[in-house]
Amino acid sequence: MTEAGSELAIAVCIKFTVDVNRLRPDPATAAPDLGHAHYRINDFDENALEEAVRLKERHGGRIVGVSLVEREPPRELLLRALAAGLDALYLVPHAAAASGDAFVTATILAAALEEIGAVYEMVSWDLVLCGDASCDTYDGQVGPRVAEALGIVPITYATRLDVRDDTIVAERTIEDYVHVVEATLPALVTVGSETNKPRLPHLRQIMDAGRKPIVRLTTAGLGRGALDRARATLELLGVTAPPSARRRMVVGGNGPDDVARKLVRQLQSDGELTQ
Amino acid sequence: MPNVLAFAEQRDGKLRRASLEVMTAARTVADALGGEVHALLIAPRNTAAMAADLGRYGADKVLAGESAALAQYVPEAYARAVADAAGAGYHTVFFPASPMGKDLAPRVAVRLDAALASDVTAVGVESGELVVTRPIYGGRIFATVTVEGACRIVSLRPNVVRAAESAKAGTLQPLALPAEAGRTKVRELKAAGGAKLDVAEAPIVVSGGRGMKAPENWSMLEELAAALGGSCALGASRAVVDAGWRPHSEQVGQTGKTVSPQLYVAVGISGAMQHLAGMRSAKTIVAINKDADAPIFKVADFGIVGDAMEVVPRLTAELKKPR
Repeated sequence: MTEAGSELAIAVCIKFTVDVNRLRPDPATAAPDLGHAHYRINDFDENALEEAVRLKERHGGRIVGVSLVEREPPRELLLRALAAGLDALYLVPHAAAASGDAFVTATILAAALEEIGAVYEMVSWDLVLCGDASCDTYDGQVGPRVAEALGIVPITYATRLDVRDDTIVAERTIEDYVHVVEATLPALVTVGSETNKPRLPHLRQIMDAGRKPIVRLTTAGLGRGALDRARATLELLGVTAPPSARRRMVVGGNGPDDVARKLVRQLQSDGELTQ
Repeated sequence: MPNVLAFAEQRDGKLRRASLEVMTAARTVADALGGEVHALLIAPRNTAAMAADLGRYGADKVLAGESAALAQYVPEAYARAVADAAGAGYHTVFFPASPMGKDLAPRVAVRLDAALASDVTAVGVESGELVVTRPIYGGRIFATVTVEGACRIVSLRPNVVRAAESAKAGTLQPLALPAEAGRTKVRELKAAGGAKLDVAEAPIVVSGGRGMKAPENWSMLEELAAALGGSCALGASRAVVDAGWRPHSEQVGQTGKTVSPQLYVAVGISGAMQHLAGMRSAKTIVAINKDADAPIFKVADFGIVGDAMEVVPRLTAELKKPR
């Protein structure tokens, strides 16, 4: 546990996700062609990692990454996460990762975090950082569920955070209000792209990354019957392509006045402007 | 009886539009199961009037708690109030997938140890099972899933279900609210200067990108938005948010908000994949861009190839003409 002025023990949950922008659905089934997918570090997890590094720069401490993976992610991504500032990366390979079920993911991640904490002889992590959501399934619930499983306070959608002694102070923007909240550590905080701008690693960091530990945890070692509890809660029945076909009509005319008139008439006759 | 609970979000004593959409979705499920719809409302005042509206949109009962202390969203207290009520044995609990609902729904799901399907775009009941559709992979694929367990939590994307009147009793029943705030203290509330109507909830969205050329040109988009009516919100591409021209709260796209408005007008936005991820499910898309080859035209229903500076003021003028 954190004493006043002492260093922070920070864990960052990382998802190595398919690169949605480069994904091609199979034209026949509409199912994503995951066999040829490119992978990346989930966007918001890069923000979580960057925030962890900034906190470590201010307070000192250790940053450990943990990721539930179906299979080994590309090595360049592991090195990228380490170069960004992780001191060590723990991979938890498990077939259940394929489902992407938030309940399963959170249960296994929480058990892994406890296990890794025990390795470092900690009572608890001071801070667990997660992205607000992952860009593939966009569930936005793994963070709060991990917090619950660990019994620590969740602070979601944080746009700014700092630690003073054993207190975390965070800003959360909810619509047109900024809520400034505080809680006693340990806490789990989720962050997004508004929180920070991840920096590119220096050459030195890239070179050091190869020497940092990558540890593969077997789920056999995870305690408290975690895996028995990790049941899928959503069952996938099928996938389809988005329903609507676009009209792709270019509105032309004699100069901008005419074009504007035609577009407005079209929208009016389609009933788009009545509410 | 398999009853359905629906969280009704309000602001300053007025129901949000998304709350009525949630009532309609809840009604669909309750009718299929032969149960009732109960709305849950937490507000500083005016619960009786809001309960009447909720009744008109299908609430058999309205569990309402009035509290000045909870006028603003206080996550832990709200989560406890909803979870306590939902623990009475509801089949499904609905939330709007508004910024508040997206924060609240997982907290309630965690307390109830229940499954949560986030940001769904369609709900139904098949052979007694709750079946929902949710876009995944940036809206490029729609997944149909069953939600399992004794209690199911669903957050409904705004604007995808049209709120329909369905008069029920809307009987007001007082709801006890938790007294203590929980482990997180709200130290301060600051006005963020964002829009009253969130871009994720607005039925019409006008978004600007780099083709707007400079931040001061946004007055042009504000005028267009005003001409489109009071329920129009402004959005922005990542490029202009990154450039500091617009606040992050307006960003539409993979790392910003996902919107499904009736009408989406993309002005000077080229249509990068990460932007499309946030607006692809809009009902009608209008694109204005001077580059005829811009990818935005591939997803648009109506396109105007031209300079935004010339087109936008003319559209505004045309909309202001009496119809």
